[in-house]
Amino acid sequence: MASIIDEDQALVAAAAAGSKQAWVDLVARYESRIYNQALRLTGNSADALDLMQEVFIGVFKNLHRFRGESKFSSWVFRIVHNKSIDLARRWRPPVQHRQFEDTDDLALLPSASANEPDERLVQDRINTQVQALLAELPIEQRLVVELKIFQSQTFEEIGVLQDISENTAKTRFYSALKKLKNVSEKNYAMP
Amino acid sequence: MQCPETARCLPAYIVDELVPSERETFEAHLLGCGECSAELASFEGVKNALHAWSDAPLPASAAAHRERVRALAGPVSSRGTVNESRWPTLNWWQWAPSAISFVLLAILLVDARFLATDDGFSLSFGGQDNANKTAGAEEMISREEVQQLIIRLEQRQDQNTIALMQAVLSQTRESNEASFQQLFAFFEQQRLNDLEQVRASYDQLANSDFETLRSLQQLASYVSFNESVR
Repeated sequence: MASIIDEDQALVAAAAAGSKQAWVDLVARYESRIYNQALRLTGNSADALDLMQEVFIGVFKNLHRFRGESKFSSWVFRIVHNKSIDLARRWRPPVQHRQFEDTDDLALLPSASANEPDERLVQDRINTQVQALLAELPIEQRLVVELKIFQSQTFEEIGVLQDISENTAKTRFYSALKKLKNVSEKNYAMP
Repeated sequence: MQCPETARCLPAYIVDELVPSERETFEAHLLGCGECSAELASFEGVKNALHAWSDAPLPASAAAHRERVRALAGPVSSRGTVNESRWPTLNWWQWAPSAISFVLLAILLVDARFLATDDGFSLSFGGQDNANKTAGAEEMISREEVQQLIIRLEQRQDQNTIALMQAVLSQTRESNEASFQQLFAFFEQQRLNDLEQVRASYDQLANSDFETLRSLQQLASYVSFNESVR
C-alpha cells in the first residue's frame, strides 16, 4: 500500500492537497536555489527576486500538474527557464560591468553575510564577475550555459528543453564559450 | 582556418560528455593540434571562472517576496509557520457520520441502555437484568452479529472515506492521480487502524472473564447512583 516517494514529491502532494505548511516548506527548500539561478540569468538581485516570485507563482498554480515523472528540481527549472525567457522578452537593460573600485560592495551584501563579511565580500565579487560575464550573452546562450555548467544537463536534455537539436545545443554552447572567452580576455585577467 | 575538430568535439570534451572512444580519439588529436590545445586552455579558463560561483544567500530585500510567495497557500505568520495539520480541516458534516457510526457501534457492543423513570435517569450496560447480564454477556452480542456490524461499518467507512476525499479534493479545487492515490492510502490506513481497534475491543470482551464488563457495570451503577441522587 505504501509507496516510495521522495520528500519533494510528498511535499508537493501535500501542498497540492491544500497544506499551507507543506507549501512553506517547499518554498524554504527551493528559494535559495531558484534565487541563485535567477541571479545568474538576470544579472541583478532585483530582477532575480521578481523572477523567483514569478517562478513560485508558476509552481503553485501548476502543482497539480507535477506527475513525478521527473525530479521536482528539473520540473522547477523548466519553469525558471520559461519565465526567464518571458522576462528577457519584456526586456531590461543588461547589467554593465561593475567597476569594483568605484562601488560600495558592502551595500550589496546580503543580510546573512554579517558573520563572515570578508569571505562573503570576496565571494560576492566573484559572483558579480560571473554575472557580468553571463550578462554579455543573449538569453538563449545564457540558458544553455546555465543548463550545462550549473545544472549539469546533457546536450540531449538541453535540446529537448529548448526544442532544438543536440547539435544546435552544442553549437550554442560553443558560441557562448567563445564569446565569454573574448569578453573575459578583454576585461579580466583569467587564471 | 579553424580546425574542424574544435567545433565538433571541444564543447562536449570540456564538459566531459564524450563517450570513451571519442574522448580517446580527441585527446590523441589534441596532442598534434596546437589550435585545439590553445582553444581548450582558454575555454578551461572560462569554465573555471564560471565554476567559481558560490550560491549567495537571499538579500534582506527578499523578505517581501518571500512573504508573498508563502502567502500563496494562505496567510502565514511572520515566522513562516502555519497552525495546521498536514491535511485540511474538515467541516463537522464531513466527520460527523464517522463519529456517529463509532458511537452507535460502541453502544451496541456494550448494550448500553438509557432509562428515564420517575426517580430520574439511569444508564445501564449489558441489558436491564443485572442478575443475568454476566452470564448472558456472550448472548447479548454474538460473534456473527459483530462480524456483520463490522462489515456494515466497513461499508459505511468506505462511503465516508470517499466523501472525505471528495471534500478534500473539492477544497483544494485541483489534484492529480498521484495525490489522489496518496490521500486514498492515508484514509485507507486510518480506516484499517480503526477497524483493528474495534476487532481488538471485541476480542477482549468476548474472550475475557468478563472483568471488563463488570467494570463497565460498576461504572454504570456509579453513574446511575449519582444521577438518581441529583
